[in-house]
Amino acid sequence: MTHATARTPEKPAPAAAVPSLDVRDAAVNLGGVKALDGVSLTVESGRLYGLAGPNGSGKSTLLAAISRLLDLTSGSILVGGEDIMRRSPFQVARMGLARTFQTVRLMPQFSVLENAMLGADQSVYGSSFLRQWLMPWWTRSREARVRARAEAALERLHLMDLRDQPPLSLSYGVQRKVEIARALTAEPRLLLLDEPTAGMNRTERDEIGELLLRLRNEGVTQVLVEHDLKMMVDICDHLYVLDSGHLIASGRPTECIREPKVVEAYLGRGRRAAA
Amino acid sequence: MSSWYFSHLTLIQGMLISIPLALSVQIALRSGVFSFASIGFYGVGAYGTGILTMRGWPVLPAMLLMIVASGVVAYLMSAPLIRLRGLYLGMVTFAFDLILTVVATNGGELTGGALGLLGVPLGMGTGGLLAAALVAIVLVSQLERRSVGRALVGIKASEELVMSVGVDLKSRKRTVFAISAALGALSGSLYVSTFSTVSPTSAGFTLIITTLTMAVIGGTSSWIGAVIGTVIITWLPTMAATIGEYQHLVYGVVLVLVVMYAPEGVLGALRWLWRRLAPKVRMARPSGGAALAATGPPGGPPPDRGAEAEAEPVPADRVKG
Repeated sequence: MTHATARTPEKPAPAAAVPSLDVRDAAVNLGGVKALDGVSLTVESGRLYGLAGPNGSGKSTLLAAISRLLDLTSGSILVGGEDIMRRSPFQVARMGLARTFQTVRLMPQFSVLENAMLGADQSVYGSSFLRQWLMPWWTRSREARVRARAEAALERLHLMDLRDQPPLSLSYGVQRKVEIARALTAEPRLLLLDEPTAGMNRTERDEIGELLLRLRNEGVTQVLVEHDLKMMVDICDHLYVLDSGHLIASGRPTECIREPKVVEAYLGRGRRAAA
Repeated sequence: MSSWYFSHLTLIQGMLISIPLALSVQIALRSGVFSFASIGFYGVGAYGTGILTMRGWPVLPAMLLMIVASGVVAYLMSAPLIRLRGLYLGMVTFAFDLILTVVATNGGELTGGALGLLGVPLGMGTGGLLAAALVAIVLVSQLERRSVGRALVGIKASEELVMSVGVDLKSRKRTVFAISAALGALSGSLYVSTFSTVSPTSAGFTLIITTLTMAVIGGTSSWIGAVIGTVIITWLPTMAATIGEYQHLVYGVVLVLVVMYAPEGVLGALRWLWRRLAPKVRMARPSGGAALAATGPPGGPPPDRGAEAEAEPVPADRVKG
C-alpha cells in the first residue's frame, strides 16, 4: 500500500519513526458478516487521516476495534509500536487514545462542563475510592486541574457559555461538540472521531474542520470518519476508503476519490462523490 | 419529647439500621450494578455477628470481621457476576439471597434452624447506630463526588463511554459490589446486636422488597434519596396504622407509581419542584440559555446550580440513579 505524503503540510512530518497506529490484516466477523476483512493501514503521527466509505463499509467497526471496544477475529493493531490486542479499552485510553462516538454519549444528569471533565479524570487523578475517602485535599486540587483542562477544551469549541447547561437541553450539533470537547480534555495523542459533524450545520462543520486542522498542527494524530466527503478532501492529509470491509483506496484525498473503485463504491449505492 | 423518643425507640433504631442497607442498594443501582446481593450479606452480617458474640466475642470486633469478610467475599464473587448485565445480575443475586435463607434454615445448631438465633448479646445503643449510619452516609456520599462520582454515573450512562475515557470498568464495578456487600453486612450486624435476634426470614424476600422500595422511592441518584426513602418506609406504617397486613401491597403499589410517574423518586420530584420554585436564582446567573433547563419532567436532569453551587462548582448531588 502506498503512503502518499501529506497534502501541503504546514509543518514537516514528525521525526518519529514508529507509526502512531498500525492496523495489520484486521478482520472482524460479526455473526457471519465480515465487517472487516483483511484491512491493513498505517497512521503516522501528527497527521489527519480520513476514513471514508459508504454506510456499512466498516468504518465504525474499525474505530471500535482500535479503541478495543470490539475484538478482532484475526489480525493485530499496534498503537505507538505496541500491540494492543491484549489490552483493555481503558488501558488503550490511558495510552493516549481518545474517541468520540457515532451516537452521542453524554451523561444527562451532569452539566456540559462535568461531561467534558470526564475526559481528563483518569489521566489527572484516576478514580481511587480510597483517595476519595482519605485525601479530600488532594482530590480537590486535582479537581481544579481537571476543570481547567475541560474549560480550555470548551473554550476551543465555543461552548463556555453553555458550561452549566444539562446537555440534553442543547441541540444535537452542540451535543456532538461536547463529545469532541470531552475527547480533547483527555489531551490525546491519537484522536478517533466518528462522524463528529453529523447533525451540524455548514457553519458548525467549517468550525470543526478548522479545529481539526489546528489540532493537527499541534501534533495530535487524528483519524476522522465522516460522511461529508468534501470536508474530508478539504482537511485530511491522507484518505483511506473502505467498502464492505475491504480497504479499496489509499492516498491523497483529491486523487483517492477519483479512483474508479471509490467512485463505484459510492455511485453504486446512489451516492455522488463530492469534489 | 423524651416520652415520644422512648415510645418510638424501636422505629428510630430500625430506621438507623436500615440506612446502611438502603445505601448499599442505592450505590449499586446508581453505578449501574443491578444487584440485591447486599441483602444476602445483611443476613451474613447478622448471623455472623450473632454467632460470634454468642460465643463470647466483643461486639465491635465481631462486626468489623463480618463487614470486612463480606466485602472480601463479595469482591471475589463479583469476578464472574459483573459479567452479567442488568436484570440477569438482579436475578442471580436475588437467588443468592434466597439460597442464604435456605442455608440459614438448615444450619442446625449453628444458625438455630427456622427459629434463628435468639438471645444474642446486646451491644448497640442508639448512639452507636447513629454513628454507624453517619459513617455509612459519609463514605457513600464521598463516592458521588468528583472523579469517582463521574466515573460511577458514567458506568450507568454507557459502559463503552467510561472505558473509552480510561475508567477501569471491571475494577470499579467489583469495588462497588464489595462496598455494597460491606454496607449490607454492617446493617445486619447492627440489627442483631440491637434486637438480639435474627431468623431466616429476616433477610428474605420481604427485606429485598422493602429495601428496594426505600432506595427507589427516595431516588437512587444520591445518598439523600436513600435516606429519604428509609425515613418514609420506616414511618409510613405508623402513620397509616390501618394498612396493617396490606403493608406490602401498599409498598408494591407505591413502588409502581413512583417508577411510572417519578422515576427519580422523591428526591427527583423535590429537585423538579425546586427548579420550578426557584427560577429566579437561575436567571440571576450570567450564563446564557438558563431558561432552557428550567422546564422538564420530574426525574429529568437535576436542577440549576443555584446558590450552593457558588461554593462547590461540582455539586455532589448532581448524579442520577
